Amino acid sequence: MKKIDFRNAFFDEMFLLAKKNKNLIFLTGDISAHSLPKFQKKFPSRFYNLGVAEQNMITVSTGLAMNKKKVFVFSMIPFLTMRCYEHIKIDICSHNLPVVLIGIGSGLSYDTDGHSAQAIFDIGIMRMLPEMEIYNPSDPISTKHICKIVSTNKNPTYVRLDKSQQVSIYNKKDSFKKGFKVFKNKGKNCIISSGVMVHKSLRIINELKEKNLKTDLIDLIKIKPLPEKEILKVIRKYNKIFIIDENTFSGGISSVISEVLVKNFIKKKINFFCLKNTQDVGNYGNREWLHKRHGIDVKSLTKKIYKLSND
Amino acid sequence: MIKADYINFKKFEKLSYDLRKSILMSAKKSGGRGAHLGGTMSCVDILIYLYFSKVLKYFKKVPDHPLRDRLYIGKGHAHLALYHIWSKIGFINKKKLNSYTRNGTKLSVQLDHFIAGSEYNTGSLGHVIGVGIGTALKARIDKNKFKVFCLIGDGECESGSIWESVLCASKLKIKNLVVIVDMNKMSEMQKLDEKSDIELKNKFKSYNWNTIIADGHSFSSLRKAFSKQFKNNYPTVIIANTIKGKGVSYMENKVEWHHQAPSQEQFNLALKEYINEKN
Repeated sequence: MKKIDFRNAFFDEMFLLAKKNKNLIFLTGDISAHSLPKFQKKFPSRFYNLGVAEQNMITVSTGLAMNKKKVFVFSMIPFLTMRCYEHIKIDICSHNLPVVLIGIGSGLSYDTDGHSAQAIFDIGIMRMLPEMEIYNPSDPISTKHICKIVSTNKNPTYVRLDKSQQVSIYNKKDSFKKGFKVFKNKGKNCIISSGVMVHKSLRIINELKEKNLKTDLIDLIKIKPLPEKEILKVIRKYNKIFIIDENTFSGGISSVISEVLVKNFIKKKINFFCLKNTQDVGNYGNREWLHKRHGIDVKSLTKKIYKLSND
Repeated sequence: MIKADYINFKKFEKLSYDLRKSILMSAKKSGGRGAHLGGTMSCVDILIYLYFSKVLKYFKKVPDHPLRDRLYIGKGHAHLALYHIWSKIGFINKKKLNSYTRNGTKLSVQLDHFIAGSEYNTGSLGHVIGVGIGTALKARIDKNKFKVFCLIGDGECESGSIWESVLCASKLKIKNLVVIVDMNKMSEMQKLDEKSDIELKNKFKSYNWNTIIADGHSFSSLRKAFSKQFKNNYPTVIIANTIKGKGVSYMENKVEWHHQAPSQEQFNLALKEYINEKN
């Protein structure tokens, strides 16, 4: 099956939306993508490269959004979120403007670039913003659908895109309105994952299947607000839960799921396979190497989950 | 000076006088905490000129009219001046104005966008030029005619994001944007350099902005500044030299009156100057 870049999946859809919605405006902090030049060419008065000045870019998006423009803002995650955090808090969130922040490079996407480009706790900080909605699509099809959904959002929105190419794991006609998808295998236990790690989780499930162990999988796409009731209804029936996430514990979905379970008095055996709480300066390698370093590679996770499932 | 100007300036002077008195009375009534009288008094004349000389276009009955000129306030600590102006225009009723700083009030010591006349949630400095750029860009895209003004403090110009926006406005050639700097030559803790207006002008100039230095307490100087037309497509900055605490002799040019709350005796002393002057 053909692998597609997350950016292309998102921006191709945005291009189609911009044809219909004349109020759609795109700002970038000097970060490009293959699918952007055609937007720039077709809509020159709605495409602005504001350079490596992300705080200004947030304030400009605010001025546009205050005046009824639908603004999509694009940059690398650390610079879009952490560098501009107070600007996002005051300008976009306190005025509750429907600006869409599109961050590229979720998790360890920028593997060899190291900590300054990686985004392993951005979910944690962004979900502290009361008004913010967060989406973390896992494949080209969900990405395309999320683009469509967020284009009509009424609240500030943050979309995380992985900087990798992935095959589609969904069908074009699938609905993503619920905010999560379940892969059912009649398993007694369940993996919860999000974004690019869903692909790894699917591989783990297949490996386990070969060992005669059935495991289900939940792909968390809408991280905030979490579709709590619906997701709890699904989680309740499993014996054990394994969380696989390419973020730190407090910066990713581990704490999101923990909070929901505790808040609803649900006692479950739950294992967290996420990144160690370190920016790991001085240790560089490709994504696979980093996964091994953090113990979240397919081989070691399969082994651990198999053992824990049979405990 | 032509006669019409003379009459107008007299009118503005009266408005300024009344506004300063009202600000003092509101601050006194609220106990003065958070009133930031120094930086409020310094920009009173600028605001009077903006609102009452037809520089700033607004619609009395529709404060959020889409074709109004926008005024983005960076120095929201000057809130009391604005509340009284908006009350005079009719955006805020007396009851609301009287609730200032009481528990449950809609009028606190910073501005928010729910208040009629107010565009932006203030309290954090260094944001509004960018917001102004976004708004002016909207006007350009949709071919709207409204103008965009930003009022910021000179201390605020120390903020990095101001300069990101100054560069951006010049790159995008945002002609429709006028930034006014209330140059009272003082920030919360310190006096700024005497020549800081020239230095600031040179900074803006180096980013291709049109620059004007004005006397922020002289209506004829403000008139000259606001009516000046430039033939290029760059934004304009008016650096208005002002006096912190203007209108209250013991506050003028004193750093401590950035946000210090006067005692009731000090308030009475300040108000006495107004009563005496009137007599």
